Amino acid sequence: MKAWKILAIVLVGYSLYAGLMFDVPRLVILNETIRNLYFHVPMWFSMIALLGGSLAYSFRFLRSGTEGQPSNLDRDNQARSFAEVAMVFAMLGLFTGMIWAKATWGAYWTADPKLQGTAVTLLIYAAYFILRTSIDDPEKRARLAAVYNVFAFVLMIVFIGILPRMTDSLHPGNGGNPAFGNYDLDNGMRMVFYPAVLGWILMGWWIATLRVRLERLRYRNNH
Amino acid sequence: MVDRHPSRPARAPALPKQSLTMNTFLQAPPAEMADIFRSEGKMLVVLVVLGIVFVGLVAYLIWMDRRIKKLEQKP
Repeated sequence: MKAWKILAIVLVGYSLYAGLMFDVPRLVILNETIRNLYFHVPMWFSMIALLGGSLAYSFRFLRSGTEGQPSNLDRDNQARSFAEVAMVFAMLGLFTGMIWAKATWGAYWTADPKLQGTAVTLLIYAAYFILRTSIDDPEKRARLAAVYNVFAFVLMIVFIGILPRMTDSLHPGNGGNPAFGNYDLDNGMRMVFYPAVLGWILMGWWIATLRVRLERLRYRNNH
Repeated sequence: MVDRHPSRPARAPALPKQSLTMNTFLQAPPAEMADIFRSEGKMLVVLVVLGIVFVGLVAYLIWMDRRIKKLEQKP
């Protein structure tokens, strides 16, 4: 087994133990739910990393068809598989966030720019998958999906990375609301949070590559 | 500085004036944390359960990885 897969297991395993057992700052309202930082936030980091991977593969697909070369449909397979696993992580991030919001804000969902932005992002990527199913020709499908993926990624950054920061938001890290500023004094949390983020990104990458390889096998079987 | 009211008997026990005012007016109540939870509430059992779930999922991932590798190696 590759070293980075072992690293993924070790880091996530460590974050599960340390996330429950290590000391955290004592803050009112948040109380012990501050530990959700180790489990909820890495879902979004993983989603963004996987969507970044998907975008890179879309670029590589578009480049593969130039200069008289045949386009490489495997790049399309990679782009789709990575986006797919990214959406699984987005769902996990959304549901864990809703539970956390209920406990600390008092409602599962609020009309908060960060939350609405993620909802719109999910719809944008839902449209990516619907677009794919609506085109029969694999070549045309791959090309259109790749171009759409570029737009989808840019919109995702705008909706969850930029717009929420420009208005008021309950969500930490937005609208002048500190995210990691709160925990700057607490290096103990960083020692759990960063390994958790890296571990989950690698874990998501692993699952996505499995999806890619499975699809390759199916393709080989059918041709 | 709080002066004793003249009607109050002189033998009344002295109150810890400073800490009283600090607690009442200046300090928020301390955040509730699960302090005893970890040491006495069989929290380790939960951790072991979580560990089994995690190990199980990882084992499944590894198993899938190996199966796919085997299929890939078939001509």
